[in-house]
Amino acid sequence: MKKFNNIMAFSISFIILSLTILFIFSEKQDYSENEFRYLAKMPSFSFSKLLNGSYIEDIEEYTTDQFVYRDFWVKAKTNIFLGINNKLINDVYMAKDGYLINRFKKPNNTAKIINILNKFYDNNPNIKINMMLVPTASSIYKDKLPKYNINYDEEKVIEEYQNNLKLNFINITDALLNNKNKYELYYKTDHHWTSYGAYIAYQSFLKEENKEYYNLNDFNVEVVNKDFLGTIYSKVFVYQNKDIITKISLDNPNFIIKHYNRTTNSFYEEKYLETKDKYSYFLGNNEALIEINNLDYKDEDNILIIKDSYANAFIPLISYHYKNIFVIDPRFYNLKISDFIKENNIQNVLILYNVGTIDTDTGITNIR
Amino acid sequence: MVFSSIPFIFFFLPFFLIIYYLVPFKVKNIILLIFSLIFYAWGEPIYILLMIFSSIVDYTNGMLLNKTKNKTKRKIILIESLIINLGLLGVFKYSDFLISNINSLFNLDISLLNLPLPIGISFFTFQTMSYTIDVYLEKVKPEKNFLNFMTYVSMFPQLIAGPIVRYETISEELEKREISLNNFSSGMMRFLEGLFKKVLIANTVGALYLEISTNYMMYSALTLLIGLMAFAIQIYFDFSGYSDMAIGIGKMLGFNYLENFNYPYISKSITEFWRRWHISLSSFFKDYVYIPLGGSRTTKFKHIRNILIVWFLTGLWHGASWNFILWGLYFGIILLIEKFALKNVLAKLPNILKHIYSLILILIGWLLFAFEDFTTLISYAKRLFGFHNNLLGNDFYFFISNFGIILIIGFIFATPIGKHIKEFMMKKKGLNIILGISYIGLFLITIALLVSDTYNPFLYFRF
Repeated sequence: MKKFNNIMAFSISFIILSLTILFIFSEKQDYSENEFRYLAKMPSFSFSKLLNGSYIEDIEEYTTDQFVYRDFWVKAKTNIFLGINNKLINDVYMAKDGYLINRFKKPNNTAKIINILNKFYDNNPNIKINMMLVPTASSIYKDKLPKYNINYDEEKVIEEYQNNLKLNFINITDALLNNKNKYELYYKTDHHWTSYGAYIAYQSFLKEENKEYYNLNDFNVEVVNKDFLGTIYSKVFVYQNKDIITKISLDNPNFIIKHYNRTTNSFYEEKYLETKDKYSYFLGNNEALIEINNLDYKDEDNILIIKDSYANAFIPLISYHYKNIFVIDPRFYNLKISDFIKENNIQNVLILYNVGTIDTDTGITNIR
Repeated sequence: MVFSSIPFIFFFLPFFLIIYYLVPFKVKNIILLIFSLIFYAWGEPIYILLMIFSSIVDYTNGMLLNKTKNKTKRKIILIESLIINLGLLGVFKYSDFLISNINSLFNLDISLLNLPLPIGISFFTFQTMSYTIDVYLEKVKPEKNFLNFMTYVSMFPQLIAGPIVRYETISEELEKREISLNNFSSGMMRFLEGLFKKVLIANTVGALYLEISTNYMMYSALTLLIGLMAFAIQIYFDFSGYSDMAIGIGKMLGFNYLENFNYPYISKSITEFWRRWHISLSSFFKDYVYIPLGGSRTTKFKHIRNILIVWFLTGLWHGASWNFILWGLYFGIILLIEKFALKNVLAKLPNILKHIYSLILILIGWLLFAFEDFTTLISYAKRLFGFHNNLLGNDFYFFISNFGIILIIGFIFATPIGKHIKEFMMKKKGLNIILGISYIGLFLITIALLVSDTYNPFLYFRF
């Protein structure tokens, strides 16, 4: 027993000391691409920070963030949990066919958000306001979730919005469900929809607008990347298949896209395909306001899209059918949107959010 | 700082141990004192003064008691110590509770002090107070060396979450103790076992409890039962794991603390449960409250009164909230019933029924303990018995399939079976290698969980 204890104590001490020494001499990282965040740095010392306890908190965060082989340990944790049959890790379901699906929790702010949107509707009389609240993979690919799960019912939440909103609500759940086996509508490792999912929404929306739309085979459908590991992957560090990013577009487009401090003529930002954040291939990072002019379009109709990042894959498709497309992301746009509507003489507004994050979206209160 | 954290395991502990082992014996107490103060200041840079103050007070009391034989003077010193220590505890732990009760009773609006609770105050005030009482009763000789006394009070292994170590337990070891490789190794093993209990079981099952208790409105009755069991497992592994780590570190330093837990969930009665749960606290109240009040060697009325006082205080010690008092009195009443009515009935029952009887009462106890807010408590309890919800739903199967294995591991290691398996394997050649490898494996898993998990709170940290 004594010998056993001594050998064990020696081995464990050896492990601890080696990791400590490795930590001290390891090169510290600034940014974790996998986690989409800056890692904690060694905090600078000050007496006031020491006294209010924040210095110590920072040191604890620093040692945990910069611990050697961090990704390895996180991946190990996921595998251990899978090993004891735990299929919900960091609020991610390990679903069938390689799908990682975010858990959908009971929302807390539905009534509040409905109230904000109804007020917005009242403040903008005589203006057509549509809304699409896009379901996520957790309802469209419900059949891929583990047999027993504790997801809240997404469709019920969408219906609650539909029944209480004054604006015109476009429910695209059925359209997506009808196509869920034909196309991969959502990424397996990211919380966004694919270009196919966005295409289904495009179709539904133009039907509602009584406009003609292109069929999928009128478009060029082109695979632009096969190495996409998205945000959900970053929560668990395991995957079965990498995702494929598809570009759905027409030949010879003639667009001017005005970003905050630059102007381009393509929706597609190639440079992001080289980074971790590949979804930003569509329209780049989220910005307060983007203005798109379609030079080939003959009529004069404009549209304002108030949106979260789901719309980024949708906007390139819808843009073929309007003269001017204004895109506002209220998370970054702090002015009064109603004023913007008046100033630019906009008659048509589409609010596009996904139901998975609308409840916690920080921009909703800016819709006024 | 908590033991189950990356900075403690990889920086504080190794750095401290290396210095502690390198310096000559005379200096060891001072090194221990310095590191203990750093350890405390790590979380509470200002309140450290409070602990030093409490130490100075009772060190002085000890010296004064040593000088005088005058009974009245001695009594005054004793009372002064009680007033100061209980006063500190009262101001920092109970003042807001008192104010809010006065407010609601007399419809007043006195503003709360909102003082943050100093870490470990419930433990160190009890330790210094027990010292003065013991010197007064001449059970121990007063400590003449202030640094030794301060080391005793502030010693970091047991500083923030117990066990409550009495001066008599370690007074000799403060002067002279065995620091050896064997003690180091067995202490380290004990520390590891506590760490595994905390990180692998308490934290994971704690996440389960957190999920069920936050969303209990959505779940079926049997799921709420799992939630309650998860709480029972979490609190036992959390707290006893912490005690194991404290005892283990103590041993690495050459100190022998008394055991604090002895498999409480295998008890056959509530009386037995309280002999096995948080032993240092129950024996504190027994020795310093129950027996001085006359204990059981008095009239039946006073005996009952004594028991209720002790359990009122035990409840109150756990937190400044009525549910803890209710929880304490709940056990006090059960103990009274066991003592005066059930004793003979229980003795005749088969063992299995005794276990079921005890576990059900313990679980109901945890229900009272878990919810500070009475409305939530009642709402949870109603759903636990299926008044407003299904008895069984898909959610139950979800929790069983996802957490079943870890719950079963928890059940098994709450009994002595794990210890028996370990001792058996250790004696057999071949098996002991497997045992050794599993310890290393578990340690690596612990690191993985600590590095990737931000969910790492100690339940008993704020008591």
